[in-house]
Amino acid sequence: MKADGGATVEVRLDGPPPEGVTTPAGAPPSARRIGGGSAGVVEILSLGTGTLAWELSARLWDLAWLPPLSSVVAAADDIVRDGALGALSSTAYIFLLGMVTAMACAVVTTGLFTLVPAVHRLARPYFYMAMAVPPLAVVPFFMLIWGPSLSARVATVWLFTYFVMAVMATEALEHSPRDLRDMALSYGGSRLSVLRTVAIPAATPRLLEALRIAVVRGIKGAVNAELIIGVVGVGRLLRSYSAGYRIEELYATVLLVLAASLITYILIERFEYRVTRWERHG
Amino acid sequence: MIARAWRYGQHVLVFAGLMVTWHLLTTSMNDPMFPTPERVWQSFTRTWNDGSLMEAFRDSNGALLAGLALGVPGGIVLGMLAGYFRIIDRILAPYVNMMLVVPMVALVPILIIVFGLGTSSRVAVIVLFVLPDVLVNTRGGVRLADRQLLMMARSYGGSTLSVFRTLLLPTAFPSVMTGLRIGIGRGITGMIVVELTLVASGMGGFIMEALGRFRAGHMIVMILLIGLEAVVLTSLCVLAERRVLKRMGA
Repeated sequence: MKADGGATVEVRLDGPPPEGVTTPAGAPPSARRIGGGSAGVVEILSLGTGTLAWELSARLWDLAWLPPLSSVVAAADDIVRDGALGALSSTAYIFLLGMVTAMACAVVTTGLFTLVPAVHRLARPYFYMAMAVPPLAVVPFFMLIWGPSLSARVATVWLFTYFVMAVMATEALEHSPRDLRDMALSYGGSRLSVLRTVAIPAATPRLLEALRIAVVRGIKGAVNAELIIGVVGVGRLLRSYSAGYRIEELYATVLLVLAASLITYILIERFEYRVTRWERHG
Repeated sequence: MIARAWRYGQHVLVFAGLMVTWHLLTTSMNDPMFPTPERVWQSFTRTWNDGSLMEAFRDSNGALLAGLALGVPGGIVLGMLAGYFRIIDRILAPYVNMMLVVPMVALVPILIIVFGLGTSSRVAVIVLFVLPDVLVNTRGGVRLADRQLLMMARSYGGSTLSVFRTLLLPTAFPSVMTGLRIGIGRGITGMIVVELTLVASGMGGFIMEALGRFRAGHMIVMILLIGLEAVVLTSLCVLAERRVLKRMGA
């Protein structure tokens, strides 16, 4: 498009999605999803340039704190052979335990809040306050009670995930179509059956979004707990490599954590995408 | 009026009920790991009077302020550019997505090695925690700009800078404030992460010292103070956002 002065006017903003195409459930229109489609050429080039810049700058300037990427990859291979996967599986174990416990508690809380709105109204300020407090600040208190045990680590993952799941799931159910709920109630459905057959199916996309966010927070909680408590799993590896100034192994462990987190996130995102397919295709 | 008073009264009753339950439970347990509300109050007055509470608070918040001062403008500038120029967004996307998804705490030991055990490493960690959320929210806000208005502004000869200043920044303002709110929360988390894990100072150091001396009361006081700070700062953001939006006539 030519402007008055003859200059080319290029609108670089992303416009709305084409007709019939909707963004995945709950995502803002601009959200780019990691696992939702194949990466573009620019993104791949950007990553490639970044890794190349890392390798070259490490070799050219010989920085003590920046090992070449090739050495880091070799170190990653070594520590995987030495049993780093055991450390990762220990982290995954506490992540799963914490997530399952938090999900069970969140289901009960959400049910209670939805069926008895007065309880939700009275408890809401405490839930928002609990979400405002950085969960990490509470981890030492868990250590005081349970010591550097499995319970302390699982409780950390629980704290990272429970409140966000309970709050988001309750909001998702509250925002399910009111006319449908009213109609089901007027046809004689009980509150519980309306919740089961109308509210929950309608809120599925937002419930899955809550789950996705909780998974990301849960992974962060598991790694945080292990780094602070620092006697097992990835936290122990990070602490020991950091204390021993074993830079290549330290970077390699960080890379393994990044890879594991990204893979988990992509898997949960694919799952969400599949389950909410009906919403996009009607 | 009566209904409103009753609603507030219910909240007061719930709070009082929680306090009484806390008192009864901890008194019956008689375990120093679970202090009564009175013990926690005593811990507060003691640490307030000897100055250790405020010293830790000042120490941590100096680093937090520096981190926010670098991370928030950095996130806003990158977010504006990524929202406007598609190519910049695509270049940054892999790194931003990674920063949002992966546990940043794993990078803390590397930052400590790079920046040492001083304030600079704490500031760097806070920047790393704050920047992605501010960036993503600003980017989203810029993309809400009306395309017709944007084309009109350019066709009337508006420079890129004036388009940013007069159209994109006001449009993105609510999203920037949302990013700031989330960023402050993340910044406080970053501050606590680094102080709890590797640099034992400030509020995190206070908590770790209390852990070492089995002072549950001191620990609870600091946890409550951190929560209070997070609530106050985010509420101030909301207030500032409302005031500015009101002034802008939104």
